[in-house]
Amino acid sequence: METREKKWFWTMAAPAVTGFVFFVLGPMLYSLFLSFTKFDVVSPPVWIGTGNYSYLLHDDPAFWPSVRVTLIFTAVSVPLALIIALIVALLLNTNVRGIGVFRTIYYLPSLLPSVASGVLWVWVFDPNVGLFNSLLRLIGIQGPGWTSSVVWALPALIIMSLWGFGGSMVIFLAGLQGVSRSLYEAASLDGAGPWEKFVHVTIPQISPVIFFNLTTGLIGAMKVFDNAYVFGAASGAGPGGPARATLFYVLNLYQKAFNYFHMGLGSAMAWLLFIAIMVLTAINFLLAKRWVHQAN
Amino acid sequence: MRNSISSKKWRQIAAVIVAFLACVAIGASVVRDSRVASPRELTWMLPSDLDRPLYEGILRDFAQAHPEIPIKPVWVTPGQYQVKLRTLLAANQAPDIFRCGDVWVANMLPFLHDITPLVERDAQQIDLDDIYPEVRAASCYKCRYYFIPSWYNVSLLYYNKKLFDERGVAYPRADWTWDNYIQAARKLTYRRPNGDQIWGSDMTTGWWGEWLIYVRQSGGDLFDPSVERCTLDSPSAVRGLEFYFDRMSQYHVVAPLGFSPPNGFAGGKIAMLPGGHVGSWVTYNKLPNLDWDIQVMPRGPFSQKGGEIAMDSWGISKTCNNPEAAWTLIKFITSKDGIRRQVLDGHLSIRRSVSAELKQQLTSRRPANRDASYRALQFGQRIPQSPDFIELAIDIVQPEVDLMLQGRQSPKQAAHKAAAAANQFMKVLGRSRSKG
Repeated sequence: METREKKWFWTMAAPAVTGFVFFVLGPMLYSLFLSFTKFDVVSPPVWIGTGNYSYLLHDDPAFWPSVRVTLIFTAVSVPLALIIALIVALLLNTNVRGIGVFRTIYYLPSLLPSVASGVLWVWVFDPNVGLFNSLLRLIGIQGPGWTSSVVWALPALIIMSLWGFGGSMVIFLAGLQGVSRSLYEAASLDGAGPWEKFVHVTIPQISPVIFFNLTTGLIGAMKVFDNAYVFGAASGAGPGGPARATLFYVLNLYQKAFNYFHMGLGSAMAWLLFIAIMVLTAINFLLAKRWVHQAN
Repeated sequence: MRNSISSKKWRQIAAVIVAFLACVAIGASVVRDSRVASPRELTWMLPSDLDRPLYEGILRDFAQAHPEIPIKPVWVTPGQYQVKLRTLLAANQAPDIFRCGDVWVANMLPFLHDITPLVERDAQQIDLDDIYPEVRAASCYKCRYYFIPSWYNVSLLYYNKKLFDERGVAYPRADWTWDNYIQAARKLTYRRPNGDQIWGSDMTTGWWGEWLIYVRQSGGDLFDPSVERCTLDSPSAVRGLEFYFDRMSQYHVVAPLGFSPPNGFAGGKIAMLPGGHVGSWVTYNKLPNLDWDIQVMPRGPFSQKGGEIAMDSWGISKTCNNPEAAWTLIKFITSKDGIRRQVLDGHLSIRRSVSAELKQQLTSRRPANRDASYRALQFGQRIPQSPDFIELAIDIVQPEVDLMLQGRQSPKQAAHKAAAAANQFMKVLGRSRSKG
């Protein structure tokens, strides 16, 4: 790099680098320190070594249930959301009159604040007067107590999460529009039908987009908080209720750190989550070499 | 190195960083100044609920009486009060005056100003002897004052007179036992000709509000007196949990979990509400079709004692830079005049003189049997004064009770699992233990 160019590089990068060092790296390192202490916000932190990690992994009755809830949610909601977003993107990638209006309609729910959509969905799932059970009653089925049942509360939250597929859909749509027409024409000449074209042309061509949506979806699912918090509060089940059936990892972290001021425990949980996400993302990148199409 | 950055360029980079940090610092101070009250102004965090007109009136009158103490109200949605408060406390941005009853005092102690010297100094002026002895006792934490109550909550049996009349069932009496309550609840559980399902009783779920009453009335408790060991697994405590659960599983006098009628007792399709909350009186009285009254809680096999007595109080933040001014406001709220206006708004009086003075004036208002709320004081018990109580009760014990209500474990199993988890928590993490 030329010296002049270097000078401008550092000058322009300085605000971002400074911001990162002071407002991201600094707090992160401080939270790493706190994770080895007992800290209640008011009194000075007391060094307890790996006590917080040990309590979380061996004694905390809420830690493993929250890991379980988060993993189930991630394993079910991420693939479902990707499939739905891809199907809708395929439908919206056609030359139908008024397609812009349809695209807007499908994207709109993801613009709704999660708290507002959470409250709306709690009403939809209300066992007595909710939309779901009212529809089920019409066909003679008594729906479950979605918000109060340990069996149905998490599926309710998974259904609720699918509502916000608009973001992934837009990215899929952009990917689909980038697939060269000539590839489809060549496939047609080889006698490929719509399904063969989808499997052998569309999927490989948009595999980088699928990989992007999968990676961000996995990270997002591991950090679910707002929908779960609103669900517990608005349904009356309480944070993570009933019986920890909706106690997501980050909700558990929030409860410990900000409701009960166990900042050391909260920091330890944050670092465990950070490590888990890093490992998951690294595995994702390693596996990507096998299935993500590289143009070159 | 040929391409290394010269010292002049380092100086330029450093200048940019300094300029950036200066901008951030100026921006932060501007934002901070716009949010924080001026040095003389006190911030008072208030719930923006049905009581808002009451507090607006108090603010107006206080401004007239004490123009030298400007107050900045911070209105918060009632359901988010604790969340907002705790976030502000964690950020060292505590309001000067905030709601803090006996339930939270042990947990919030590090953030609360010890007002004992002020209370002792002004004991005559605030007329401590006028406050009900049970309320006064419940207002102390380890013989110190950290808050002053403006009203209190006590567990009561709420009942819908219209539903009792409809089924020809006699209203609850002060000498009722659990058996009387169950017999009445069975008669009051029925389906109307129009298909409406009426339930004999409501069930409070999600927190300790109701099951702890039965545990105590059976002779058990959640903790030992020193709050060092969870005792929910004692046979007496298990008996209380069984009664709580049997109403749904055996007697079928409460709605299945999650299928309680909309709006609960206030919706008019539930005949009795054990426990309840006096904070709901204002709401109940705004419902013209709800003809309701109260009675003391039915007696359990061991005792009639066990209902919860809880203070709705005001405390001063430790970071308040003018505690004397904040104390003047709290005295204003809890003075006889202040309590009188709160009672007329629908709350319970903490002062005997105000109860006596307004007795005639309140006879035409619901609840008619207001005396029951004062009699219930003798049966009320505070929750354990431990900084870990709420975390233990909500996050450790309640999930096991929830599983019991789902029919996934028996009351005995729930009690044993909850006690084991709570004791492990206290052993490893608890702040309650005084020793080993």
